Amino acid sequence: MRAVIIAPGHSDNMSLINEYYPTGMIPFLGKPFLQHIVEFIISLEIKKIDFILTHLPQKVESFFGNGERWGCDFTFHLAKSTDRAYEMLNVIDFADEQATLIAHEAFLPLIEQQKSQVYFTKENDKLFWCGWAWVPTDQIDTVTSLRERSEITEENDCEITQYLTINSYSNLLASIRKVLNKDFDKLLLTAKEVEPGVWLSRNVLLPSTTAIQPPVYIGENCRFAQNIKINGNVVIEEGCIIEDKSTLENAVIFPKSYVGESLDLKNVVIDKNRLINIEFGAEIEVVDDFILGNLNDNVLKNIAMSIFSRTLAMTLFIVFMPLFLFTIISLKLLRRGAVFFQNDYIVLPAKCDANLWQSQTFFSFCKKEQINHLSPTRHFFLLFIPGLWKIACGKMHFVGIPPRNKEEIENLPQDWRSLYISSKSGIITEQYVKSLASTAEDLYASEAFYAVSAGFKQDLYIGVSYLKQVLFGRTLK
Amino acid sequence: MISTQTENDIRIITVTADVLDASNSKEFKEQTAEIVKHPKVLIDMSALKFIDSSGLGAILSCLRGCNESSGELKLFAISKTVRTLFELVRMHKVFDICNTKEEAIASF
Repeated sequence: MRAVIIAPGHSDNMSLINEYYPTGMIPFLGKPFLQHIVEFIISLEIKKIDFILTHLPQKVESFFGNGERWGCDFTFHLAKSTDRAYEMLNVIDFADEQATLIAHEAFLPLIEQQKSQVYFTKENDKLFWCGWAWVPTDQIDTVTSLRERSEITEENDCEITQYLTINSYSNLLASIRKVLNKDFDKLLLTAKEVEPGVWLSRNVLLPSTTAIQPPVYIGENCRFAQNIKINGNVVIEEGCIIEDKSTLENAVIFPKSYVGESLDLKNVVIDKNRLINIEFGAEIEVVDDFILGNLNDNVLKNIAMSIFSRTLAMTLFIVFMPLFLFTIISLKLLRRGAVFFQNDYIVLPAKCDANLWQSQTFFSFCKKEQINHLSPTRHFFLLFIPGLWKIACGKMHFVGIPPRNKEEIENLPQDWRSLYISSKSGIITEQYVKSLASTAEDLYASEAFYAVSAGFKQDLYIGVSYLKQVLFGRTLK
Repeated sequence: MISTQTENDIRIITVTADVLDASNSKEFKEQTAEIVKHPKVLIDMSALKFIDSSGLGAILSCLRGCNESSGELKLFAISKTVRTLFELVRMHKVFDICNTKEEAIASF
């Protein structure tokens, strides 16, 4: 038998979390929710699973691989948009399969190994198709029409009452409650129930001063400071640190999150520095790392790289100070008009919330529009040397994507903007070094490629190419 | 660099190079400029093992050429490395990407 999981990766009202996790990969009691779905499907003796992905598909593909780990065969298909995901069903070759199980990444209904059933769930007294159905393969083209159905009319329709769903934050919490209260007991949890309602994973540091009221689930490698209160319905995923005197109730803390001292967190989902209040449906990014923070290993690496580049920039700025002064004097004497130009830009990487973007200004001896047309020597004198000050201040990098102001960033298409704000801006850009044409597609390709492949080696390669061009010139294409 | 064939009135471009980067992306653009004006175009990427920003730009320019003549362009048989890059830079939201030639033909 075969199953197809429709995983568009987006859920309504979960935009902030969906920037980092496609819906199916949202952590749910120690595993991505999609893994629970896959394990459930495998328990129905299905060994071949197709995934139709749209948003952040690489996260799903790299996690599940070819399915060998589960003794199954996984195939991944890409759909341009959520609407196109169901159309992909008409393209897949189902060969000689009799019936196929259609599943959805945000739902896990407790169904049986049965054929020709369409499963409905009820929310706020409203019936809707939950995305799961056993469909005869020769009727696969009828699946799209199931999305519009809101009542049970056919003989094969059936309402499911036992299900989990993560299609909103409140449903995520409600589903977690169902599992912790054992109202849904089909999941394979990795933690051990050490006492009724208390699940504990390995390598957890839990001082005796911690007051725990079940149900609670604590993932691997978590660290708790003193006098912490956990007041029930709390999930703390792997690798979190909870500081002194904090109180948690009806809360989910995603992996590698840091929770600061004396915080009272109730009805919330926390992912690193992102705080979601379920009562008010508010998504907030917290700027101060001592309140909520990120414990990813990359943070330390980034700090080390930042210190290195700032020190180097300061040293170069001091060394090139005579050249800097010489340029000012020369321009004052020779140029008509302004010597300095002021360029506003947003410091990268930036938060998703535009209100938290930090605007800065850097001075150069040329206009922003002229940058890509400058010869390497002029670029070095007019942009690189004055720009060193901003690098020394930690507000810019040697190599990166071109700095842009708020308006320019907001005018970028959504995916471009999302990649842009996750990257870093620099004085030397790949676009300049490779003299790429400035058509929109070349610009997008260059910035997107840099945003996803940037690293020390890539920066070094671009930096060395720039240095060669400054010293030996280049042939403009 | 490329070879072409026509099947069921669909023009199929096969990329024969294993690398598409600054060294050959201009040539790729020139060679495909006319072909992508066909109403239905497929690009077989199975031989391509590495692509950089210039290569991505070249593939995007094919799409622009195709859109300008109101045609449809789809990619198929992308190697794992190139596919991962396409997904990371979100090109899968711009292009129709199919796993096999049969799927790609069926999707028109």
